Amino acid sequence: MAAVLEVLLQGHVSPHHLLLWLHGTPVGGVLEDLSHLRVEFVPVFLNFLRDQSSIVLQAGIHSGTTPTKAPSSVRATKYVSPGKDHSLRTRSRKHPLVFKGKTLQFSDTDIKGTPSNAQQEVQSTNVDQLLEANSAFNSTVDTSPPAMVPSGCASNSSSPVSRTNSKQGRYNTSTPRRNGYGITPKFDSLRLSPHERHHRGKRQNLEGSDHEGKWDHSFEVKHSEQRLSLGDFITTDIKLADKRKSPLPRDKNRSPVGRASVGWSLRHQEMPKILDIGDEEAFPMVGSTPVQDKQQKRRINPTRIVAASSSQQSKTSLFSQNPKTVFGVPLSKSPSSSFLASEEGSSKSMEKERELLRQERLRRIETGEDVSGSVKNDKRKQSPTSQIQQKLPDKTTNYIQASPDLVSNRSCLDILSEVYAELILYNMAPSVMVELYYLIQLLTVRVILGSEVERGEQCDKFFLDTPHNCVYFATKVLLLITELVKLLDKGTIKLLSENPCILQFSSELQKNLLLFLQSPSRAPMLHLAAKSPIGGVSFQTDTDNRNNFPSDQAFHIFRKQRDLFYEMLRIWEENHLTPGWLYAQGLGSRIRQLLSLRPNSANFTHFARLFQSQLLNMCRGDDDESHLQQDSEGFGFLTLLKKQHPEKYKRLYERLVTPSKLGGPCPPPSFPGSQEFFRDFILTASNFIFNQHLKDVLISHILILSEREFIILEPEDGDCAEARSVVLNLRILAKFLGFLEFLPYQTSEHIPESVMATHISLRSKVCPPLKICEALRQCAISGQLVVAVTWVVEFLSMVDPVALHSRHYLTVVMTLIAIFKLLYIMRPEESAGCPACGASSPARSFSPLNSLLLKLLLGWLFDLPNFPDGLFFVDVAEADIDHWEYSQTLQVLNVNYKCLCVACLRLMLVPSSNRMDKSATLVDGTSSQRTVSPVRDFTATKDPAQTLIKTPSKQKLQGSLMSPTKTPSKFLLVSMLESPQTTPLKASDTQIVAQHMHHLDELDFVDHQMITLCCPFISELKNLLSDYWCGVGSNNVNSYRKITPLSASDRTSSSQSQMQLQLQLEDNFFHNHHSSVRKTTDFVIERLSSNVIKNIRTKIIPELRISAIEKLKEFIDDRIQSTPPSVEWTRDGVQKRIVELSQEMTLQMKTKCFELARQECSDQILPALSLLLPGDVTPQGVEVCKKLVTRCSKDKVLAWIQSHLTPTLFSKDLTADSERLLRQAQKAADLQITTLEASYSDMSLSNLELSEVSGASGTENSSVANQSGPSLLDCHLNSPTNQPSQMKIIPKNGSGEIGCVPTAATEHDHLVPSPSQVLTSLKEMVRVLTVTHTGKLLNTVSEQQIQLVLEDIRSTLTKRQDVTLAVFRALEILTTDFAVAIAACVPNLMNSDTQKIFVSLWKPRKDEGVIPMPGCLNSLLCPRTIMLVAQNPLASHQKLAWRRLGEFISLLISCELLTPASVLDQCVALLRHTWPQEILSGISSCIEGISQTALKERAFQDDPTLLQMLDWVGWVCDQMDDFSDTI
Amino acid sequence: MKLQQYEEVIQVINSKPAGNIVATLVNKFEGIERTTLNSIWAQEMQKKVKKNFHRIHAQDKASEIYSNYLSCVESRDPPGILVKMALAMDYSPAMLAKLILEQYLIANCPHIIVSKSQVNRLLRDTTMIEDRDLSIEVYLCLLEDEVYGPFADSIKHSIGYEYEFFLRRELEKLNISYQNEDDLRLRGYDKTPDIKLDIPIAVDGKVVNWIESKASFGDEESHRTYLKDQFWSYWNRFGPGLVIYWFGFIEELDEYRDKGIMLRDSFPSNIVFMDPLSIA
Repeated sequence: MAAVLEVLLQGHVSPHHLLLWLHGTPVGGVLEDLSHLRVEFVPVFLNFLRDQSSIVLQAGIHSGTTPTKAPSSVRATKYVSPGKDHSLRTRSRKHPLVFKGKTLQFSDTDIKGTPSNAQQEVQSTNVDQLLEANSAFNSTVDTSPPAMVPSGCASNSSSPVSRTNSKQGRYNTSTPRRNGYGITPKFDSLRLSPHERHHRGKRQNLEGSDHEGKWDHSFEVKHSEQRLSLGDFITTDIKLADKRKSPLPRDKNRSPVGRASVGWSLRHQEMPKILDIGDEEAFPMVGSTPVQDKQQKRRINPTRIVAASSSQQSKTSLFSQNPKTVFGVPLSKSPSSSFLASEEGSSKSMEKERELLRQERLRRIETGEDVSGSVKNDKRKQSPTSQIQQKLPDKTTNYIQASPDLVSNRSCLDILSEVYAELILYNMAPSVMVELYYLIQLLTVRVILGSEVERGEQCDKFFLDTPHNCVYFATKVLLLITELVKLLDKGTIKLLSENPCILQFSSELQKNLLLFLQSPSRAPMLHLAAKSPIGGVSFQTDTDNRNNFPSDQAFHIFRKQRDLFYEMLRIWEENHLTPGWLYAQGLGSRIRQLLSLRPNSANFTHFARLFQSQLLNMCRGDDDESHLQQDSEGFGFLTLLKKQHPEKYKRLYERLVTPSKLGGPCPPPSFPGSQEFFRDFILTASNFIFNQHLKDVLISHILILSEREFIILEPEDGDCAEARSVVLNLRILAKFLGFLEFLPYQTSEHIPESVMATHISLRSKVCPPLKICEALRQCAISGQLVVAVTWVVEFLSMVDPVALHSRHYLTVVMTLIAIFKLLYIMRPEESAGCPACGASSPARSFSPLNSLLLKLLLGWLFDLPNFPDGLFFVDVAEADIDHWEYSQTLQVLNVNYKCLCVACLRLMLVPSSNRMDKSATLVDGTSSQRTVSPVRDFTATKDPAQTLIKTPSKQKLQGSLMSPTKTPSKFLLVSMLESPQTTPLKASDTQIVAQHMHHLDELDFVDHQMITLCCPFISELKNLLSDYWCGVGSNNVNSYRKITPLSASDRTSSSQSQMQLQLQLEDNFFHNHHSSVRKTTDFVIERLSSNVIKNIRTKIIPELRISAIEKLKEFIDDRIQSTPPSVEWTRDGVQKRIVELSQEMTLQMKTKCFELARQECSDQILPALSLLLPGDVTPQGVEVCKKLVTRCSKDKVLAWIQSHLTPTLFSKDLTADSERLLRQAQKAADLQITTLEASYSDMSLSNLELSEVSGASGTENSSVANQSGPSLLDCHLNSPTNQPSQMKIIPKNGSGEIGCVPTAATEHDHLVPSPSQVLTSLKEMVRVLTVTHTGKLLNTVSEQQIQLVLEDIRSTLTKRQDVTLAVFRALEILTTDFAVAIAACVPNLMNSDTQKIFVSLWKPRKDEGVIPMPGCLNSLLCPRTIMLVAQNPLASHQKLAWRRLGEFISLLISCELLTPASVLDQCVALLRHTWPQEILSGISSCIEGISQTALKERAFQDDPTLLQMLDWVGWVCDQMDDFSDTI
Repeated sequence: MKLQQYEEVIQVINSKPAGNIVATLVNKFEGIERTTLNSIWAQEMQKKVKKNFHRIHAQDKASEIYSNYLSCVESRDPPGILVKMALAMDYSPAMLAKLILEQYLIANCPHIIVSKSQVNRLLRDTTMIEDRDLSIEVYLCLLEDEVYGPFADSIKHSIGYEYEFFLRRELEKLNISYQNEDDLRLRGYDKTPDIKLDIPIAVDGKVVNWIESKASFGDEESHRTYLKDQFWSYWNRFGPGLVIYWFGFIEELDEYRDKGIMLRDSFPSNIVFMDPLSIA
């Protein structure tokens, strides 16, 4: 490989040719012989650059001036899967969390990742020590990994003294160890034998990091021991490389993935060494003692308030669990001053705060260095806040100023930069972000003055060993990739353009950038939507109501589950910020309770859907919340909190801060914000059934969303908003699906080779839950790959270590790589490109920003820990994938998307190169044929597969033919192309359409906000630049990006009426009309039928139901009346009756419904249609539409009726009601029997002679019932009230009837005393009358008062509408009681006027009564009344009371409010008690009075029996005392 | 009402001033509505009953009370025996009457299992109580009691309904379309607030989708219960809403305003209506 670089650098091969060669074009010349190295070139080249610059970047770290960059620059020294390095790095920050014992596997891997991180950070270890300590390392690491971790962290900043020493040593004597591979002979000793490395790999395994395990796996399983060293690419005279290649051939066939492993090995081969070196315990710093290390195991993490983006939040959530280490010493020293030093502006204070930490670190280093430390005065050290104001202008003087004049090796740098730029531009480097990040690192590199001098002796094979060269190289590349840079957000571009190095080195670049900045920016397309105030998922009657559950029980249990779920959410929201609060502890029992409430699939389905909806609801809201936190208001609150609860505030602060970096250019996937709740729910529940249901729900939702087609007709109208929202929703759904799907396979343990192979073969048999390739194809066809790729990336980001090695997923990954290579950062013009490309190019290509998003996302995926290393570079033909599936997908891609050859790309992307190689372009043009495909080898051989693929236009056409009515959008699509002359069925037409339609991929669908939302790590670039600024510049550039939220709109329910019964004619009719005609018609049909059905449900059904119940009631009453004692007996009859009734009802219902439907149709369709249809539709056309609507809506209604309104439905309903009615009837019957029996037994007890009378009274009872309207049964049923409304069966629908009263007022007068007031005063009056001592009564109660109360009752009942039945009943009782109380306690007030008022209240309604015939009048003469009378011992009083009572009862009888029979009953009942003589005589006088009055009444005279009986009772009463005496 | 003031009111109630407690409260706390004080007092009574219920209704205690009562009747004490006993026990007269009634039924109808509904029926119509002494005693208790018993229940129920009715009328006056509890139940909702608005309104800049009318004072205990059983359930389903405690509430309890449960003590006056055209 070195040969390639050599010829390149020597100028034998132009970069241009090299790129062609890389692309597979036969170029001839030197490169021809080297073609076997082609696959390996790119990764090796990328690593080569890292190696080149490692010295400078490391110097940057150890100089201590830009400490925050340290880890990244370390990483940058090698192209070893940055994602992994990164993940390690970030993990180190949160390792304490890990030790807290979080149960997540992800966290577990974090633990394990730490050691290697530590190792990576320690760059300064002396090479010799490395080897010496190797064995020691092995022994220490395994036994005490936790102890090792902090030391690793501390290495960066904690022991400045030792650091200085080690630095000295390093810079003087050695190049960094990791460059050692074959670069200089003296590093050869560094290379470990394969055995050694293997051994180390094992050690790593013991530590158990999953990804270490993985690379180890690839190291072993794939046998990728072909140790390509960088040196190979540089000089041919280092032969050692050849030795190391030897193992490769031997191992080739052992691996299941065989030859594909070549590329994978490239990034692994150096790692064992890296991992070994880092441990400081094993390799102590020169001059540092272990004790010191222990003391200073603290590292300052620059922190920042989490506010800017969701991913920052993600950090928070991860971070939150280890608050203790979030801050290093500075905060604990002066927690308040450091954070709230300045709160004027949020971002400002954040910046300052970060600056503070930076300075704190500086200070510490300075004190250690003792170089410039003496300059500082003590005061500064002690008050970090004061340092903020001083921007340390003196600091900058310590750095080497990069200068164009000092650049060496320009020509080589030019070549390298050109190659590098083109690799980036032509999608040959896996991650754009990583490369950009590296470039910015180079650009912002800073080396302290002193350190640089010593490197003068460096080998001149280093091209990037000085800051000058680095900056030169970076600016050069940036210039070449300006088009890519321009896609970044303007904040970043601005920072870049303001970078002094850019100005110095490349004014052209700066000019370009400034020019671009001045150009008007696109208006933001995302809508600024305030967060929806709805916190929950709204209750939808069509999915959530009782009808959607198998049983009442299930329904009510789901209600509980729903409430329980939200309760948990609230608990979580309140507590998850509190340190020490554990999810499983706080919610575990609730979760289990919820899921075990009803282990029924219906409930699980509902709950899974609720869970999913809530997930979308909340996680989409998170975008807003982070945004809100930046409000000054929020900060005001913080200030307040800080003052009031410093402790609480501190905890909150610890939650909110995040490492100043998001975690480098490639952070591991996380569950930011609310997602944490849902993830932990799943983990804590660990309920298989729930997981399965949730998966089902997610899959179905994902597919529904993904299959939605967005065809934007007018790109300007911002129609993309919905599509964006869909994309963002899909990402969340896919992420959780991925999480669930791969959850069972996650492991923190290393999987050994053999086991891995088994796993792979096992897993290869299992189908993934989703046909991802198919989804990708579908989206490719519909031109919205941007939708599919975003969610597929999210799905795969959750992958376990094995999955991506398995066939299905490997195929997906290869497909993604193929898509990746189609992403160009510029839109190819129609005419652009060579003839070969132009000829084969179909219409579509990604818009630049769409490309950028996908590039970023895919790059991120390719660098994730569980992504197989090097897979990106693997030749597809060698991969073990489903070739059929792959080729099919690829064909679809090729047919639908523009695929450009290198020459075209160059023309398009590198304008400056236009003139460079015109001849080459020509060569390309002729030679490239179809080789433009990113996987040319493969497609070239599998051309037959092409026949399987349909052209997109055909597909589209067929789709529209097959189901022209399926979706409005499709219909739209077809009708678009219509012109009167042509039929819509020709392929040529569809192509015309295709040109007018805009697919998401082509539109500027993605904007910067979307990129920031989906790829929050992009802000890392800005961080790098602004960090540089803070160190150098004077102005405080603060560009925290505001994230504009997208509100989740749920419009998926839009009704799409299915008109499968449509005839072909109709289709044609619609084809020939404007699309809106069909839309309108569909709309009207849908609305109309739904209205009719709604009417049926709310009007017709309840009406019929009530009448049926009435009938049933009648039937039951009948039965019971006729055969009182046997309710059981009637049950069968009732059942029969129910069946009859429900059949009857169904029939009625149907006729009524048809009638309704017919009427609605004839009445409503025409006006609606003529209003909605376009004006150019002819009257006949409208008529056709009308008929169509009539038919379809009738069909719909009919179908609904048929399926819903069945006799069984009603009979079920009625059965339930009949139970209730029967129970009521039974009670009533029982009561009747008991009263009968009671009276019978009384009679027989008291007077055996008159037994025949009891029989008479029995019959009288029923006559009473008939007279008073309601039967006696009802009278006894619930209360003695006896008014009509009680009779009415209260229908289930109840609609307010319960509260209404027979005397409903027509108007409401709120000035009239309210029912409760009247009731209260009435009750009070009665109380006063009955309780107060009689002597005082006359003074407290007056006639006027009584009359006033009674008047109030009347007016309330007639003028208020809010009288409830309960009030009404209470009034019945209390007015009766009132009358009795007056008569008994203040008899002289019970004059005829008062009596008349009472009677007027109780009269039938037709006589203007308001409480018609209260039932309780039937218990007027009860023992209680007697007791009331007897309360007053005065004989005169009692006498008067009896007279008044007699008068009153007589009046009631004459007004027909009371029947003599009832009076008789009451009297008889009274006789069951023994009474003192005076009472008995009182009673008898009363009864006598009644009978005498009655004699005068004519009606009474017809009933001599009654009369006699009354006489008799009166007499009995008189004699009673004697009787009892004699007995 | 501030929590502090509420606590003062409670203090006065607990000090058991002679005479009508509500009247005393009204005199003492001039700025506070009578209805509010009455509601607070009633709630305190309820709490007291709840606290003592199990103690008093324990079988031993109950039969002891019953025999006390019987002996009073034996000795021909004037009517009002139970009312006096309740006063002495600092217990609800109606609840005491119920207890005595139960004991009476158990003692006199040994062959019948005494059901709750039977007792309630007798309470509703005391004339049906066979024993004339008990009949009047129970009756007097019911008249005396302002918190428990069928009369008090009817009044409470009516007050609740009156305010709900008032609320509906106010909404109708403003032409605000809504579904009431019954409409919602008909449509198969599992939780039904008093009012669910068809089109949301805004009150104090907060969105209101539903309104719950509570004709009582919102003290901590009842509010917590309502939150758990009702308000949060509404919130889950319909989003933010409004609770009207017509007799006031402890201001400190209005802590979920931002989250979407707003408390008021009257019908809001500053309603903002939805008007899509106003945005355009």
